[in-house]
Amino acid sequence: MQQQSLFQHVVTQLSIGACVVDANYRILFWNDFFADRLQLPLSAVEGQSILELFPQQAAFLKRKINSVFVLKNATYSYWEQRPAVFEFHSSRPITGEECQMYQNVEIYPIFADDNEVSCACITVHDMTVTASYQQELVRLTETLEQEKQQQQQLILKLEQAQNQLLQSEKMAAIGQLAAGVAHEINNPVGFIFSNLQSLADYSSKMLKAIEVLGKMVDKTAQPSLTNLKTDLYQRLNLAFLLQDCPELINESLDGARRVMEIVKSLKDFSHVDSQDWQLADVSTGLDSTLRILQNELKYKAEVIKNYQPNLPQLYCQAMQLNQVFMNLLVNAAQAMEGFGRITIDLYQQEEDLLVKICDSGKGIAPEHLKRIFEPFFTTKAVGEGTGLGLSLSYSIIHRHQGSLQVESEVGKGSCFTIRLPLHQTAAGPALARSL
Amino acid sequence: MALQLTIADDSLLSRKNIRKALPSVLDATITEACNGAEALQAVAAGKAELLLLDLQMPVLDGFGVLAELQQQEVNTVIIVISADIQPQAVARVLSLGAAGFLQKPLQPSQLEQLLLEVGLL
Amino acid sequence: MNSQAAAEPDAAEPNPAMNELQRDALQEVMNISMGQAANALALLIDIQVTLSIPKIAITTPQGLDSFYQQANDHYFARQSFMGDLRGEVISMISHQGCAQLGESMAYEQPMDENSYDELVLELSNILAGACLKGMVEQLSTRLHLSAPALFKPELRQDHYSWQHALLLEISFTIEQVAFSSKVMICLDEKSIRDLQQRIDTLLS
Repeated sequence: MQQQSLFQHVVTQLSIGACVVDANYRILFWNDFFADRLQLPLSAVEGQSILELFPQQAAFLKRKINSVFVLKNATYSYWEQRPAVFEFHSSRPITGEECQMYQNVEIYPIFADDNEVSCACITVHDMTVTASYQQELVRLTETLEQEKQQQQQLILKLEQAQNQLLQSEKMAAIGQLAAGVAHEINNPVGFIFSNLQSLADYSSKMLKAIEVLGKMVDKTAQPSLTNLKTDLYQRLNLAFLLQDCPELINESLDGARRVMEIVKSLKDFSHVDSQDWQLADVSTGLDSTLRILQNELKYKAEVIKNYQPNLPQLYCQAMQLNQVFMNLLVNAAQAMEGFGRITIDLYQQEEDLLVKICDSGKGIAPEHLKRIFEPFFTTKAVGEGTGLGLSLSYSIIHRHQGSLQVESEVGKGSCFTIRLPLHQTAAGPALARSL
Repeated sequence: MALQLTIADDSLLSRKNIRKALPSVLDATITEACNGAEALQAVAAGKAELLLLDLQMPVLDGFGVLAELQQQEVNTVIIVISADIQPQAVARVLSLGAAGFLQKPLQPSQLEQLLLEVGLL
Repeated sequence: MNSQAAAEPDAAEPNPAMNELQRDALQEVMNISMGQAANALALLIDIQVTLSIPKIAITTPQGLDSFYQQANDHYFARQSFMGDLRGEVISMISHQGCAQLGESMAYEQPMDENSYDELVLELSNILAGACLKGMVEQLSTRLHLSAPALFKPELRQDHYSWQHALLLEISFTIEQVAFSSKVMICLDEKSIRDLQQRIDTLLS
């Protein structure tokens, strides 16, 4: 086979498109790659402008071909930026998802003897397979990225839930500890108190005896005795002792009494048998909670109590309710800017008991107001406060078939109202968790 | 009498190339200058009836030399030979009094043509 | 933008550095190539290109790092060449000025991310192509430049198989639109010797 026709065969059948144009964009040659895809043999297009055959990309082709003639260097186009320069149908009409062929195009100069460019050769590489893979990879990566994001959010939620759980467990543990300690202190404090009472009695009797004896000495009017008595009284500073002794004993009794009250509050508050439903006085629960929070509240606010007297007892989970009261009171204290006021109203309204805790703190912003009972919603770090969010308080009240509502104004304060029905339906204690 | 010719270019290779591109019929005494200052010295010493001048040189560049010579109003015919032939550069060079502007690498035929035009051949 | 610290001549490198004469000659070759490249660009867009003095140095992989630091406000592209000499051309193109250049070069407006990629590839190809063409013509070598590809320096590997390369650094700026670019022609160690021979031929 002659060299000439050998080359012709090679080029004609190349699996790359080859098309040669002159400086006026007229087609001098194109191979089967082009001919087959456009159903136009070379004879049909020889001499025609390539710009007319591909009007969509005519401007682009013109620019690129020009640059080759002027700069005398090759120029390129890639499927990533320009998927198809030549409108060929997809090379995978049956199995492929693409409608078009993806192409890499190269246009290079062919020099005449005088070092000027005589014509430009356009080559087209079918990149459909590569393009397809690339795009699939991109899609996959995007999907993975989304899933990763979702997982991260889930992990965050789980972490928060775990923290909440830890805090509740801590609270329960502290409750038990408190109860244990209280129990241990109770005994010694008990007999200190009763001994002090005896001491009060004995000392008053002894002091009385001294007084009477003193008077008797005075009555004898015998200088040897009265002088002894005066001397004795002076040496022993008896006047002072007579006055100070009862005071000391009373103060000690007072102190012991206070310790006993604290112990009682602690026991009331923590109710070791916590999950049990029982009849209890809400006012007692409120008071014991207040006593425990005494130090917390003392510098933050004035506490005003308005308890209606002779309220009936409520069938409830006393410890849980106490923890709700604690949560609300602690929140109230934390909302204070400077020294403020906390009002606690307790009264009966028809068949319900109402506990209203109002504070003069900084209030809650309206956009937060509708979210404060949401689980995981917080504007502070977990670990501050009791760890029992308002969401748990809400669910405890809900278990009692009651309601927890809030009113608030930024700068003025907030008011939480707990409504607890006195007569629950039979389903009360067995109410499923609300969240 | 031989033409007093100075080639001013900082590159040895370039000075060589310019020498090689000179028409064989030209009878010239050649001085080489490596920078603008040396070029001006050559002019002052009467060694530059024709000055073939590069633009990018240290100490004093081609534009500097042209400006100086324009002020002095000497008789030297200056032809600039440079790699940078953008229109603005050409315009500036011609306005500073150069007789012509040729692109590197220097084509002997172009140099010969220009020398004919300025009457030195 | 000045990259003086890019690559200092290494006194102890295995390949002998070029002597003064060879350096001078190579500088001149590059000067001319640059002039042609600037002219090429000016033919396509009617704009004034400022050329700087080309730099010649022996570089190490670390030496190239100082260029890659500028990836925040520059595009990068690379092209391989082979033939009598072997190596790669790395082009560094400032973000600044590309919008205006795209417009001058009749790119379809408005330009999206793909258009900018196309522009960077085309500019790199034009500049690198013209520079190498100049060298090819003057040194009478055969070189084939392959297609350019976009290059993300931040994804580059951190160990290389080479130690030294010859770096020819050419800067083009278009002050009108605050555009700046660098064409860095890197020749591998074996090619350095071949290059020196060709330069010697020129000088003789």
